[in-house]
Amino acid sequence: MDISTINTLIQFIKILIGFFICILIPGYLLSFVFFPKGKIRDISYRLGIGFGIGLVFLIFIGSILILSFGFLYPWMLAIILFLSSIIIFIKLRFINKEKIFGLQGLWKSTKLLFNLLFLGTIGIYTGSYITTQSIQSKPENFFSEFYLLDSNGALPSTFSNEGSNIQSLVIGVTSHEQSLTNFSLIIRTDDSILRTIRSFTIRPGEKWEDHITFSIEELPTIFLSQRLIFELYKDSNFYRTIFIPVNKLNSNPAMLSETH
Amino acid sequence: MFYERFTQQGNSHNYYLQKLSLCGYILSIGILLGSASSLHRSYQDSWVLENLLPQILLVILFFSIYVVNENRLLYIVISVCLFIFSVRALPGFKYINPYGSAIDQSVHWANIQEMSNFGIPEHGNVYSDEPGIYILLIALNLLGNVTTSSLLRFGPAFFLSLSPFFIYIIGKSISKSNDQLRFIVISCVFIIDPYFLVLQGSTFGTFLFTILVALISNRNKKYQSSCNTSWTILLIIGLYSLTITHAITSFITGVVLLVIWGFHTFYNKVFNISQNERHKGVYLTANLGILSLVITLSWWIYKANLIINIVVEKSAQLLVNFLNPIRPPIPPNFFSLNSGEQMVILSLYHLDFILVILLSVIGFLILLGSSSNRASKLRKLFIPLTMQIIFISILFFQLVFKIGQIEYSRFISYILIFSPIFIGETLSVFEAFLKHHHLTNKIRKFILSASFMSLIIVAFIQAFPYQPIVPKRAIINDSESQPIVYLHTVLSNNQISMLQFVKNHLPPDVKIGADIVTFNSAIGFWGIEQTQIIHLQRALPTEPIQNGKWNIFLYHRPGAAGPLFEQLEYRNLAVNPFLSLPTNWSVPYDNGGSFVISR
Repeated sequence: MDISTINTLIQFIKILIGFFICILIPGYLLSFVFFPKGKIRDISYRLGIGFGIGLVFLIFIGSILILSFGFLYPWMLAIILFLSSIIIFIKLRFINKEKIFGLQGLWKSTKLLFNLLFLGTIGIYTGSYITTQSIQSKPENFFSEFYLLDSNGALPSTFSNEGSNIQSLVIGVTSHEQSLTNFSLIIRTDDSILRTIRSFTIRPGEKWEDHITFSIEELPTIFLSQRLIFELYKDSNFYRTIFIPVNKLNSNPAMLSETH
Repeated sequence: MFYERFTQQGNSHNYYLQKLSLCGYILSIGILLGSASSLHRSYQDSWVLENLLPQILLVILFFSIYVVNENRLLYIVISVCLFIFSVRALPGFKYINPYGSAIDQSVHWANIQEMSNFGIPEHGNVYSDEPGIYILLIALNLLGNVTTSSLLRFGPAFFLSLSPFFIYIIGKSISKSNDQLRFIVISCVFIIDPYFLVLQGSTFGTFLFTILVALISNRNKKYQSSCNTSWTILLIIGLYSLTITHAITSFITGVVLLVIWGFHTFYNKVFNISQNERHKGVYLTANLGILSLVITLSWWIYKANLIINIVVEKSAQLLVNFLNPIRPPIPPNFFSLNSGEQMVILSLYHLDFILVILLSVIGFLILLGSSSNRASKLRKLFIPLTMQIIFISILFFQLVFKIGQIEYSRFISYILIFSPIFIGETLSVFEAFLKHHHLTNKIRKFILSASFMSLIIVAFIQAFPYQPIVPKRAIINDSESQPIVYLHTVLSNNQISMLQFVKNHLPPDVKIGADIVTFNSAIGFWGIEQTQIIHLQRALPTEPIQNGKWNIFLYHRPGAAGPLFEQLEYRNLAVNPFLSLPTNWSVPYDNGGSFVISR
């Protein structure tokens, strides 16, 4: 069983305990307050009525607390329900002498419950083992984020020049892969490759970023094309593409004369 | 006390089969949940039962064998509860994010998140003023450190799995026969409402409505007459709890209870029914109906102004658009399919409902046809039967006049609540029929188990629809065909990563839009307030998104990142942004499933 499965099961067990303490136990005890033992003999009926009472009373108490204090936290419910359950139990058991649980019956049913829980646990472990052994992790569970940012760290909409100022870009990769992964990058226009960035390796959860500034030789090619395209390769295989339109706001005569 | 009760009702001749099938049942549930939790998927796969089909078949097999061989009612009720729990919680075990990416689930996520942090749901949404659901769910975080995601994944399944107990109470008020009660409880496995696996507002509304009907059904029973005050207090608290959990349901409850009373009065006058033969419990419904309406309207006026505005708005829409429906019951694309494909879609959406209605009608006809105790049985059935008839009539009326403002599926859920009572009648007659034909005990039980198994499998075609058989159509600029509709809505890590990234890198003063699923995910992940601060807008399902309305648009490809709710004709950009986008648009972020476009 891996750590994620164990975490899921721990969360599940915590909720199960909360469910018993907040709804089932107070509800069952409250059912004796509303309907003393002689009135309801059918145990399924008693449990059903008890769970119903537990649910409606929980909502009722919760809403009263919200209306009174303006907020509600689980511990507020816990204190009220825990204390009222104890008071009701003491009153029923020791003052009214009501036989809520027969001790022998309780022991036997607890034993049965534990046997079944043991079986269920074996089932969970078996299911988990079979699944882990037979099903490979699917690639869809793992991915990497590939992005471009402008110099302000915001999502850019175009690559542009304003007079002689050429916009700089940040290119980044965040890995959510299963293991250490090797990436490489190609930057190109619609027609030609501008440059290839050396490969880099990042761990799961790690981020790689690089500031991209283009040389004076690359700019005419960029500004004559429509898009600047960034291709990401994972372990030498094409992985994904992002792109940005090129927007020539002002022509820079000096720059253009150098190439033409 | 529990153990004594079990053994008193026990039957020794099938002792070993009973014990073995119980062990097999518990073991198979463990295997199913263990397998599901080991998958921990963070993306949308083909369907919920991918890699879990043999395990769930095993559970159905052992369940069918066990309930046929078990005579102790408490054991049957608990085993049905367990079955419902394991089925409903399955997506919670399998997927690491909460199942469902419609607006309701996202709003619930945001509200529970806010309630866990600040003790109060977010303001400005319909559910802010109906905190009942959140009170129930945060109570489960008693031990602390339970994440919002876990509360949403497992919480509803815990509550909803208790419904067999309430159906048992309703059944008990109608039938004293243990055999019939057994089948009524077993029939609870067929209650598969249209929002079976996801948390909707009406999920808990319907659930509390079941409790309320259980209380009403038992209020006037003779042997409980000395506890009438207790029942009355419980009913009042129950009505209040329903109002603050789902006020629309409590409003509908009030109206339906008054209609029942009106119907009963009219029936008595027309047929001159004597005082002795009248149904005593019906007079209670009039009081409760009025009380329910008073509590609901008081809550709306005092606390829930937003809801009352919506109710008024919808009512006005209903009157203005009576002949021009906003939400037709059948999407127009359905008619473009051939008859075989229409059958597939119909089965995936409504096969269980059709099965339930069919079995219920058979049960009702059997009841009408039975010579013994017919009048007495119908009198006992009066409240659930009348409710069933009213809800079916409303649904029929809605379908004929195409009124979608008050939702079609809500009434399907209400109808399903009472169906076990009638299905129980059908199944018990089926068992009596087998007994009558002098079949051996083994053969009779084998036939019953096989029948249960087949019925559950048929019902599960709707509960876990198989996405790959959904008909596909080609869309513009795309060689691959697309399913005409997506049936599963898993919130994926691709969406969450994109939303996290955009939150940190959003340029100032831009108009930002999102496709429907991404918008809903943003509400859950960012919270309602944050979504409003950045003015995130949702594109319509029929809206081409590169039309210049937004500077930045959050989008995703159909597949691992989740389903697309957009109509087929408007999905080409999602499928291939590089080819479909005009040249002045960019894709500055892509994680394989979700991406951002900007201009």
